[in-house]
Amino acid sequence: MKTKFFLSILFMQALLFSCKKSFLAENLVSTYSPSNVLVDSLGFEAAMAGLQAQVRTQYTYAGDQGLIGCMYLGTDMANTIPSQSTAAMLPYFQYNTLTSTDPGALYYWGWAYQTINNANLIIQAAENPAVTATGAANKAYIDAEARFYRAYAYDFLVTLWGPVPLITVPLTVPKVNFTRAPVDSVNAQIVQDLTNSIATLPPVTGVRKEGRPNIAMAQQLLAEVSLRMSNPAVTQQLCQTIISSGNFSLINSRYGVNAGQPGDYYSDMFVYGNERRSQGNTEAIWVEEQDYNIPGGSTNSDQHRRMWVPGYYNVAGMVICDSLGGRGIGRMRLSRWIMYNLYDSNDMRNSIYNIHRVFYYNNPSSPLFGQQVIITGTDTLTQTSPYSTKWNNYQPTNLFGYGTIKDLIMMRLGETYLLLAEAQFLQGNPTGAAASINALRQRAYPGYPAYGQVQPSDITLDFILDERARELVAEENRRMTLVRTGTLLERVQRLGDTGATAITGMSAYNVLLPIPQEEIDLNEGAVLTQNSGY
Amino acid sequence: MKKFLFHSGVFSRAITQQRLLLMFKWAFFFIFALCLKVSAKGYSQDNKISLEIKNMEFRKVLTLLQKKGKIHLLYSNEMLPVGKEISLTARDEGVLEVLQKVLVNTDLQYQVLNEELVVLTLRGAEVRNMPVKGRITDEKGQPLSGVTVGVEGSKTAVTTNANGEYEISVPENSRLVFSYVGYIRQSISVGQRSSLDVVLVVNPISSSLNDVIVVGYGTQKRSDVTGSVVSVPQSRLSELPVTNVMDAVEGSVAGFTVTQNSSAPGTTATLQVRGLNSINASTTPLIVLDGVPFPGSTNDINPNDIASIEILKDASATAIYGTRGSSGVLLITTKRGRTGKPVIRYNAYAGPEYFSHTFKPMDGAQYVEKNIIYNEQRGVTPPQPVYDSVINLAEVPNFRAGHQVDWIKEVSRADASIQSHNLNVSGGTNDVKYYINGEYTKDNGILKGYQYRRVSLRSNLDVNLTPWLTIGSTLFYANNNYDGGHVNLTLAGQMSPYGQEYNADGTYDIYPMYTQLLYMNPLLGLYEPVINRSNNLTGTGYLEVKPAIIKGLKYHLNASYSDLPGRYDYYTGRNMGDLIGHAYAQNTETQNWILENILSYTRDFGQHHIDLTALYSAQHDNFFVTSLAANTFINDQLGFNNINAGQVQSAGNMDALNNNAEPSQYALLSQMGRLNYSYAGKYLLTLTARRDGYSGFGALTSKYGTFPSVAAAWNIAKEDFLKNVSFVNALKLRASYGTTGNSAITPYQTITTLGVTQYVYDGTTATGTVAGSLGNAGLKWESTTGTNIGIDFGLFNRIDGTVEGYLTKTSDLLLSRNLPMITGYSSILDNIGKLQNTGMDVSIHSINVRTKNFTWETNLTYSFFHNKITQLYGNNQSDTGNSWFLGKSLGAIYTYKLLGVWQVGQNPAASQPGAQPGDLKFADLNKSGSITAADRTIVGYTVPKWTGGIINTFTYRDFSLRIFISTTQGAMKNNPILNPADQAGAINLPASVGYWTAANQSNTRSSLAYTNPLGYAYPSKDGYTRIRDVTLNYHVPARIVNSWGLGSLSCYLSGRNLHTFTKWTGWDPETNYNGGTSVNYDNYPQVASYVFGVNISLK
Repeated sequence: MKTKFFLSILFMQALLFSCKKSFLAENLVSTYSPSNVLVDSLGFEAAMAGLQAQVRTQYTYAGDQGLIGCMYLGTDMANTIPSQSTAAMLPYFQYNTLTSTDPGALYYWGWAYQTINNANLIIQAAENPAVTATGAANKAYIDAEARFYRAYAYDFLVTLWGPVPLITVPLTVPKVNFTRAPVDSVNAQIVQDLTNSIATLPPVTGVRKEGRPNIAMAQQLLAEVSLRMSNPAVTQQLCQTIISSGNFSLINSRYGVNAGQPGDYYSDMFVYGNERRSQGNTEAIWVEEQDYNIPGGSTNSDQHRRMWVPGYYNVAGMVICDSLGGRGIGRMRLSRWIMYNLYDSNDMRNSIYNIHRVFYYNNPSSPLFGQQVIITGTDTLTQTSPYSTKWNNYQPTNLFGYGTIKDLIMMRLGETYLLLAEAQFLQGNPTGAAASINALRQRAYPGYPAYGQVQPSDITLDFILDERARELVAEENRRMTLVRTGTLLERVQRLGDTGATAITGMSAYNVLLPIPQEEIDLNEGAVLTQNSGY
Repeated sequence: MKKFLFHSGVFSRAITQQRLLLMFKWAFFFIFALCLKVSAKGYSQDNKISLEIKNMEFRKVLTLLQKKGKIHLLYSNEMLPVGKEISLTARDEGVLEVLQKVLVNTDLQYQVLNEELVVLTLRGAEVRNMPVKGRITDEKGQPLSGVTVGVEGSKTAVTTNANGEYEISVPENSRLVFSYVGYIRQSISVGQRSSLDVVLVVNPISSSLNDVIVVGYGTQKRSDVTGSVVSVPQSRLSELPVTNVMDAVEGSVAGFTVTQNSSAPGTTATLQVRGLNSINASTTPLIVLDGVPFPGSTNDINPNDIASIEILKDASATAIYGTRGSSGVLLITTKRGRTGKPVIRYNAYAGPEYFSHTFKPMDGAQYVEKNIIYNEQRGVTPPQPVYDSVINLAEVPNFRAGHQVDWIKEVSRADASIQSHNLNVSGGTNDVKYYINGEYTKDNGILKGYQYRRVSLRSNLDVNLTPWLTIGSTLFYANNNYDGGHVNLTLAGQMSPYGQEYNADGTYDIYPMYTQLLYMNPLLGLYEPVINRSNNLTGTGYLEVKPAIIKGLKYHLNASYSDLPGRYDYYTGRNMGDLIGHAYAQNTETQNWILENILSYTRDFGQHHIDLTALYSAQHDNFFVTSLAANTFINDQLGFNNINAGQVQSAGNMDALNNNAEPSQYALLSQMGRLNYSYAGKYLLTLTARRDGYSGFGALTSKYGTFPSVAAAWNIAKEDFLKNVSFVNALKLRASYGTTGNSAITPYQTITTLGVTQYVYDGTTATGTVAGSLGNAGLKWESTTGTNIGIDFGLFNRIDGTVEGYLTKTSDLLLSRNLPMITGYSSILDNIGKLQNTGMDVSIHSINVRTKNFTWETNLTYSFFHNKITQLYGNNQSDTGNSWFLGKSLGAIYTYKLLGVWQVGQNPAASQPGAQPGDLKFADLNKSGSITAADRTIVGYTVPKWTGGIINTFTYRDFSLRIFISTTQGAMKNNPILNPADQAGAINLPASVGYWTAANQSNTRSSLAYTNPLGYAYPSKDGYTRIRDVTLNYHVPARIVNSWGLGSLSCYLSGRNLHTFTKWTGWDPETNYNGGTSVNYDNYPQVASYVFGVNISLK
């Protein structure tokens, strides 16, 4: 009996443990992978949303709070002092400290290649004949969108670094033997991607969802790339196509959420709630959307306001308020050239609604309430310097507001005219260039043509770059513009700040950024040559 | 075999290894010296002696003869001639010849029994043998079987039977010797008695060798253990006011490090056995509770339920746990019922808690002075209007009124206390035994809002159904409650003493230093409703079959299931400065099942003993989490309870995703075999092997790993030449070698994944996917190969201990190997590193004084280990980003070398251009003329050089006093409290830290204007010696207790963390204090407590 009992227990155990082989198999229960996402139309839509979220982190990431500064400091547009700097900012105005371990270059390099990898994953799947759960038309649409972003990332890389590794298919196993592809090869890939996009993408009126790539985005990017590639004729043709498409027009009257408040129509464009096309911004070509307190409304903590808006509330007697743009900390300030020399007083872009210059004590409990703020000391400019209001951002329910939550206007029609002017000038057509710029002047000067009109004889490359600053201050990626036009060093030497906010140590080689040393070190299988000088 | 003892020149490299070698040399020298001394001792009646005596009393002559001739004489005093004196000379004569001469002219004759015993009798009389019988018991009256009862000086001996009874025939007048392992040997003269009952007293030194201890998948007598297994002293498991047992164990076990990262109620400590055997994977030991791997938290275990804790340290002991063994194993065994009448016990303690040390911020005057000096040092002319030397508008009223707020006092609770109550009943018959305990423990912390409460219930049952079948169950439920929003100590230290604590309506002012918005009221957290609870429901059933047909065979089946639901909800509202309201609710659940089949076979063949164990087990673990976050509520009335009313809803939780707390599953399939062999209890050998299959390993490698080990031990004390050496209670040499693993990876690391993110299209949220991580299909376990050599000893019935040295080498370390970002990924997990640990553990227990009423015992532990990274990645380069350096220990602090502070008049141009007086002065190590990242160096390690502990226990009659002091030395860590970064002008600072001024020329503190641009983190020595606890216990004598109708009664006073000796500046050297302003659970003062406790049992 006992023996039987014992044996039967053993037998039961044997049954219990005749485990299936699958017992140790690993089943993904909670994680997506390319093999279960990039297979149908819903998956492609999600991957595109993910790619756009990734693209948006370019200028909205706060891993180092000063990352945005890399694109403005050490140019003719902005400056700062060392004590207001983060590790990412310092090397961009003290150029002798710009080395291959620069954190800013590392971040932007990584952003570009992560964007490219995400685009590559989509492009590979969209061009894979084995993916049949979604139709050819949809695959082509997604492909064209992803190629736009890939081209955008490669243009960013090749402009700032010169030759860079070119990867067009996603990796499945680690690879550490990259080499730099010539600029021409990278350019050719960009042109091919954008040509593909232009052939397929819809006009801005026909995009699937607001904020998805439209044909004008691809055209304007290719227009800028063509300038860099010395093909101004292509640029001219593309810009004129955009202008004549009838889909965009310059803002020249008040509109939107603040239309009844003090302001002007130029400042209206940069008010939260007014920036995108559906909000009335007819000038918007490419807007990266950010929404306050909506899931997905931001991916990280955009630092634009904290960079550009001074910390005026640090002055005793001043408090944070909406009209002053919320809580900034004045990490950067406009260069003296921009503050004092660039604009004339008739230029709307220099109005008190667009460049804020004078402060008044605004705390009612302060004995000085209502009086003008005049402070002295060593770094008072972090508290009350003139600043562009384009990044003003105030949420009454979030006074501290670590992140700036407002749309990023990546491309607008104003810039199209500037690109057109540049192309015309380069083709020996100053008359055309002047006409293009006057299109902006007409909008910017209420007294035009008595005030503001430019003549063909005024047109030089420098004038066009000055005009870009007037129109696109704190908005365009100034470093890329000056690198693209080969003017960074000269303009820094001519217009850069001196004194406490001086740009120091800049050499010709600093025009291109260093390849991150980590990348060179980790790329064990091949030599990734460094840009000369670093 | 050669390899296992002298593994590739183990003891030849680092200094620590030389230190080990030296220790072992001494140990071996000691043993051999002992052997020599022993062999000098002999016994023979052929001994030649020489002596010259004059007029010596007859009895003294006999004594002298016994001593000189090394013989044993038996006689009764009455038969000796009275007053007779002897004079005698002998030269090299046989001892018996001399005895013959002594007996001349007396009535006596001698007779040799068994060639060893010399008996004196009256002439003509025969030696009479008489029967003696009796019963041997221990102090509690329990019969002792197997006690050796021998005739002194003779080989004649018997042993007691199961009832403790013996019967022996002895020559009259002889002495009987009673000896039993673990008890003090007694020698008693029989005289004419025919009956002799004896009570043997436990020898605290050698009895521990006889203890049966848990070794994993079975038990063993301590003297038979070959691996490194250490038991937590019993005194650490009772009468200590701790909510988590590990807090009591801390510092008391050599080679087991317990670190309290926070003293906040209910926080659990970090556990580590010996060195650091992994970089990225967990170094927390596996916890096995009542034989079953335990999936819960140590908070789920009621300290009062614990009967014993064993810690398995070396590869031989842990290899039976395979891929989970490399960081050591904790075996926790709970109490079970014993045969006897039901016993009802009530154990309780309660008492107040205090700050063990208060780290004061500046008072008003110091604060104002700081602000003035700050402005001077910054070169800032204070803007108009000047706020009377305070910084912010909101400070003005209090400043003008001269009212200061003591923020530390405001955040602390005056009535902090801790209490615990346990009520249990246990007992049983021979066939059914039970133990049931209910517990309530509550810790009201010293900071407002912090609390911890546990309610637990345990039921342990054992039933012998038939002589060959036993079943039983271990069921427990624990509910941990950490509810409540709480204050913020960090902010309390940063608040201006003139800040506004309250609004006019009595509510807390959100910004006490308005217009400063960065630093909020430290008390706001009290407005936050927080539900934070975890539960553990575990049920284990077992079945044990011992078929009579094969003697020694046993089959044991464990089936265990755990369900661990948890909940975490909170709400922040307008009264906390959140102007829209945020609610969060999270539910987690873990289910875990384990089935273990254990087959064992024990058999003796003559002197040979074998013990075989085989295991086949399977385990499955499932984790699931749901979370909801919502914001923008119409008002704050309902908190998180109406979460669906929030305007903005999001499911899932980015934090949880970032913490990899995704739902996951894993499975483990294991086989294990173990052979214990011993010969005569002297030569011991253990062979083990385990094979583990883990689902998380990659498809390109085997999912299985095999982990073998071998261990041998030599019980020298049982050898003949030491057997009768009374001052050696124990002496054992042990050595082991084996491999263990660390499964190291969480599920799904082998698969390329996409992460989830969100984007937005004109205000409408869209879920997106982005490239996640690049999977590595070749991932496998980390493996640790270790050698352990140890000596266990017990001497003079007074001192015992263990000295062990070890070397472990871990390979295939799972590291995140960085990839060029060109790949689109920053890293991939890979098995690419190697680590090594050498170390030593010493435990010594001694009885310093033992008299009838007073004893003084000491437990001493000392341990150190030296860790070394021997390989990193493929390229063998150090990883400065992670502070991992080849050839160096983990925990390196890699930073600038601080030389002092720049003083007025010093010129920094040559080494630190631009430095201002009052800036920190760093060493320009590479002589580049400036301070750059290349000037960083290793300034210290977070790993201590050594740790130790000493427990002294004094017992006087029914009182006992226990004092425990532990120490940690030689480590450093960053001290955020010294680093105000660029906020020195915005916040209050610690009073005792100070700052540089041109006048005081401090060479350690920077000026207030210094913004610390290099991010120097102020690494400081954090060594400390702490009086951990002092406990005075009174055991009410049995006669009094019995007269009250109680079974037993004891009460005690215990104080914890009474004093800490340290050079650390800050709240506490052991607990972490993190910088920053976020609500930080870790920042909590070290707690001192005084409790009164009582243990009562009813008969």
